Amino acid sequence: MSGSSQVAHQFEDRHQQQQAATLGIWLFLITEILFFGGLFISYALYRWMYPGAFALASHHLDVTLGAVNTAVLISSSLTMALAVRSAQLGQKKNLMLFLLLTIALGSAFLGVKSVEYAHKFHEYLVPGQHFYFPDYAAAGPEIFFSLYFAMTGLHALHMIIGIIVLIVLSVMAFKNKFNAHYYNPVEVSGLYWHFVDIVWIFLFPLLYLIGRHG
Amino acid sequence: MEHPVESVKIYLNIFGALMLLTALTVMAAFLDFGRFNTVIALGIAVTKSVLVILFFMHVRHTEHLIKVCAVAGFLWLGILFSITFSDYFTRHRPIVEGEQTWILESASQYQRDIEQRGHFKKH
Repeated sequence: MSGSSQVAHQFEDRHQQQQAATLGIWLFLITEILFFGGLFISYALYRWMYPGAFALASHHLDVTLGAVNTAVLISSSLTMALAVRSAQLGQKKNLMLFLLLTIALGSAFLGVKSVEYAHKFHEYLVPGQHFYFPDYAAAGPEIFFSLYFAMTGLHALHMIIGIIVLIVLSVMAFKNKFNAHYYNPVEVSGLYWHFVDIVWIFLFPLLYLIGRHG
Repeated sequence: MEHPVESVKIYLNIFGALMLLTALTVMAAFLDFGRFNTVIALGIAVTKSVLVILFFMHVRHTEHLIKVCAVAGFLWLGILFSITFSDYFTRHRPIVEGEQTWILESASQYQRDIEQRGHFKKH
């Protein structure tokens, strides 16, 4: 074990400290559920009000890129879970490997996202002064794209923060800050990362797969 | 160690299930199930989330307090959705696709009854 006692003085033992950390991150995740929830309820209502416009607008999103990104993010959740497991077992090399893999996959996700955003820019689908959607004469498509950019943008922001956190974790792991008895930061970051994955699990079908049949 | 360490095999199985469900949701989107397309898409998304929560987030092994927290988060989301929907879905102002909706306008059927006939009609 490295350094002084890794149990802060206000806790009775390691176990209580770990329970407190887990409870703390879950309370934060609850606030995040409602944070994204606000956008999801907006989406639900506007989709109810403009069903045809939403379906048509959704067809301008690339299902292949969206599905690839979903696969990439699920893979990053796997590597993150394996990273936490490595920390539980005190396997420093594996921990670093899986953290770096998670960072790589998360970055790949953001790379694909930026390609998609570039497409939208070139197709005049960014809401605002230059929005142009000739396929549909009435209101609705611009609302869809406002929600698309707001929701995926907020999600991407969470990804960026997550990647920064993982980089910090990697440095900490390299400096032997974690062992089989103390890995709270890794576990807590893992829970955050999985939450961001769950948000995307809902975003993908709701944004990319509207009215794709027929 | 506080929690039992999940085996690599289980993680890989869950990963496989998640990938399968992703493929399923894409395939189902291109088939016509009418109104049920959305239900299927959301159902698959919920299933994937449950798998991530139980296994990747270790919730199946955690203390009951954490399980309560996880459920509470989604319960509160449910409150947001149910009360908001109960407002919008009981408004009787016809929504015309493509027209701007003036969501701040009073759209109560009772209001309209009072304006038209001076009292509201008992349904």
